[in-house]
Amino acid sequence: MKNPALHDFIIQYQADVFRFCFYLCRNEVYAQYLAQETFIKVLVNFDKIKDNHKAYLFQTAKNLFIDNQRKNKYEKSFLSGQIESQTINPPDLEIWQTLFSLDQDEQEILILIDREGLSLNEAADVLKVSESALKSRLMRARENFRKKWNI
Amino acid sequence: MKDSKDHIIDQLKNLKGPQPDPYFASRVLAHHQYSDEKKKVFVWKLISGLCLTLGSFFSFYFFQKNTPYKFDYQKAPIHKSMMLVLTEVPNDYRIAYVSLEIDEGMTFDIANASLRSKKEITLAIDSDSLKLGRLPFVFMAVLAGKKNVKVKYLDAEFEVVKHETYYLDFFDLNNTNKKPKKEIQNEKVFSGTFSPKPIAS
Repeated sequence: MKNPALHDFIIQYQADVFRFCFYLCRNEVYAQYLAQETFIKVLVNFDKIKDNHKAYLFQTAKNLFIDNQRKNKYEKSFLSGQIESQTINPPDLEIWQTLFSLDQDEQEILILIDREGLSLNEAADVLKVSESALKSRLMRARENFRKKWNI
Repeated sequence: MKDSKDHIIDQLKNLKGPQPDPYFASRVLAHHQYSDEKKKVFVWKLISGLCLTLGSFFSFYFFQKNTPYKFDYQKAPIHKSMMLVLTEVPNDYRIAYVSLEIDEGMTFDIANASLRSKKEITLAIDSDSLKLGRLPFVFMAVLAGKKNVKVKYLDAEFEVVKHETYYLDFFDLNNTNKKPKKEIQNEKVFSGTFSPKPIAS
């Protein structure tokens, strides 16, 4: 039996979560698995989530990704660090590549705030840093991104 | 300069990644529902398993308590006078009499012919006699096979205070063909008194 609330919830956030998972692992196939696991985990406690759905989903995806890496399953072997996708357009691919050329922290900040539109507060929760620190890092990350883009 | 800066960040804002397949939501929902069902099934399996384990345990316990096993039958030869040696001497001040009931194929080994034919004899007993650990009855088996000897301890009003059953397996010393080797080796052990293990009390 289909639960309409759950279905709408997935439809609303699936693209964002999928994109964030792709950012984490850079592999389309693994991103699919990670996004699916993220939703399954979140849906178990769906009633307990009050707000910040997007931030909560991202946080869960990130934790799952880290857990899987720690478990040292097959991920490490097939996550080459290169972008592995058949569906990204070349112009977008160029932006992704520029993004991935930045430091890990800067990538995360730009993805969460500039791409996914999280507020500073929400992004600070996901990244577990203070808002003020995040603000300065955001400025620096944007600057570095511009520099890399112009090269 | 500012416009070009914003343009770069705008590109980032419109960055497209790979899209989930059209069945993503349905698949996640199905998986979620399956997990729920699996959890319920697991709980029921756990409950059933626990009930089955407890049931088996108690069935085995009561079965063991009330049924003598093969190894609970003490072996003894026929046509030999026997006395029961108590493994546990009852320590109850109310005990005034003790009664011994024997199965068919067994007789009391008493000079008095009328008593010999009886299957149950009750005698007065005091606590000092009980402490010796032997009951004042001598009996023997005339037929081979499994027999029971029931011992009842009675108070002054002939009410049962305690009862025990001893399980005996008599064999014929002369019939060596049917007798297993193990029993022959143990013959001398059972030539006099023996101390069978009571099963229930």
